[in-house]
Amino acid sequence: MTKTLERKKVVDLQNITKSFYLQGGLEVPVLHDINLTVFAGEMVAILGPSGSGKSTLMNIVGGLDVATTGKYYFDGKHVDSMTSDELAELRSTDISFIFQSFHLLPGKTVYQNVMLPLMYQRSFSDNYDEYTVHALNQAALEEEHWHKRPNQLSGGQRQRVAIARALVARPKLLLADEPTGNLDSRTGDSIIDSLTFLNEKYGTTIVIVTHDDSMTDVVHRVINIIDGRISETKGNKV
Amino acid sequence: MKLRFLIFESLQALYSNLLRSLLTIIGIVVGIFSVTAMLALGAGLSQNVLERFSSFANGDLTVTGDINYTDYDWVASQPYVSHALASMSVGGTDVIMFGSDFSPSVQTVVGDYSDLQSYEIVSGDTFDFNNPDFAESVVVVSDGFAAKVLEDTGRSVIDQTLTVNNQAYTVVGVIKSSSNAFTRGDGIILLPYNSVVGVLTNTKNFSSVAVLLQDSSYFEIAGQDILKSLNASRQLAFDSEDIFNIETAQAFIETAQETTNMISVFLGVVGGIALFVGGIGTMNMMLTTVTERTKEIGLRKAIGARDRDIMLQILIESVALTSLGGLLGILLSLGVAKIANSIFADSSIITILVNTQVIALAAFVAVAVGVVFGLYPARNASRLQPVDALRSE
Repeated sequence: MTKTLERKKVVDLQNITKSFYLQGGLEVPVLHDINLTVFAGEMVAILGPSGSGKSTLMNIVGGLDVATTGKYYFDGKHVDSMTSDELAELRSTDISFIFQSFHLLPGKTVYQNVMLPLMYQRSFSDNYDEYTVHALNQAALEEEHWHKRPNQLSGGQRQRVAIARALVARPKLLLADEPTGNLDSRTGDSIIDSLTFLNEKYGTTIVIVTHDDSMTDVVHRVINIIDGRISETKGNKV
Repeated sequence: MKLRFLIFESLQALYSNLLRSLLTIIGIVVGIFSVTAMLALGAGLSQNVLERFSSFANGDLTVTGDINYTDYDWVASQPYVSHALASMSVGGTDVIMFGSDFSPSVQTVVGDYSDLQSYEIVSGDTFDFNNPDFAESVVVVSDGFAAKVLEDTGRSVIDQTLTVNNQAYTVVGVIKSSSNAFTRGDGIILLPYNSVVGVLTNTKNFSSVAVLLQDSSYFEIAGQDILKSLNASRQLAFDSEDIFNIETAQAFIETAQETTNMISVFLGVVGGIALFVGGIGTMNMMLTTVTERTKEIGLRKAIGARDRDIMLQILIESVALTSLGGLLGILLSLGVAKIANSIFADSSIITILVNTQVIALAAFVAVAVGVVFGLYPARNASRLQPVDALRSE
């Protein structure tokens, strides 16, 4: 345990709550008193049934949404006090997403989709092509597909494009929301293998949000969430 | 996002929805074409009318009324007057040449005709317009009259005789006046003053005196002085307009300008309404596009787009649409102007003048329409919350 505390905290959530307010002011609490730490180089699964609040938690961790109360530190920076532009900057440089439904832009080629996050980095001054090619290779997408449109690819290939897009900015944290949800089991397994490979070879910190129990075998830590509360944390493989 | 990327993203988004983009552009093309065509028509009309008025109003001012030779002589001798020309139209005339009837404007003039009506001698010579005592039965005709006679009779007029109310006059010269003032019918014939008065008409008085000043800018003061002096000679109040009137070229031009400006404004408003409709079409498309691309906007925000990146992208798309529409509208109006001008080449009024000012204004308006009508959809897009946008269906 002492060893764990010495490691660098990438995500540090302290007493986070999140409520939504319906018309008429009715409060619907979704997350209750969440305390969660993710360390650099970890691969963590947040496991929970549909409606448990895991996607809301992922949105807060990813800087897409803000908590109602509590404190959130990302890599030591206080996220709650960030402006909209600062949050955008955080998502641009430090946090990347892989979505269940890929969210690729249909009018762009694979290559252009992958390069897109770099274009939103105002301070990026390196070689766009070098980073893009590197990310595509990391995601193990064959070169013959790079100049195709997303609708010319299979589901697995599309998810690899999404992984490449998430990797291109070389983020500190990769958030995957049900990354195998739209894939058959064999393709899903190969995507999980790819994420494991990225974590092991490059030390990429990965948080996978899923309801798929089979994921528990490949991650270092499993965090169960039920009804907006963390119920159990398993494993500490790192 | 860097501007070059934003422009690339915007153009790619438009290209990926090519048909809809083109359909939207049509509205702007029609709008800009209407504005350009209307402004060009107004500019052409304005130019034509001004040219006509400028050539019609010879000299700096014209004294009209019942003017006798003494009045004319007094006006011509004033130190601020450079040149003066008294003229009288002879009405109710019956002009016959080679047995055919013609209807020219019959005039007699005394004074500096050559200075106030710059002309060139086509054939023969003129008589001395400055000599009021010249009384030979000769006539100088305009090239319009000569052409009409040639057309009707097949004969040349020079050294031939024509009769005005049975009085015979020999044609000594044909002149071509640079003035294309409202001369209709069979041109003009000019007779010596002393061969008209008491022969063709009993009145000795001129109907107008055209005056060219030493310094044109004093037309107002000079006009007042002439009116005051002529009124004094008839024991009239100094500003009376009972007998004499002063008309200035400037006043003619100003009136013409005001009229054509009003027409231009009216035509511009008609074009503006068409453009407004086109602009609404653009806004409609951009609003639809923002709604359809909510998820895309959410994704862009999730990967690092700031509010202003999204706003600028939508604005650039809007401006690109209206600019392209504007360019096509301007090209279309240039083409139509060329065709229309060749069709109406003989018309002295209808000219479509697509000048640099009209093009610059149309281009500016096209860009402005893109900004104005793109602003609201762009603002809506930029305010989308990424988490809501990603969740949208």
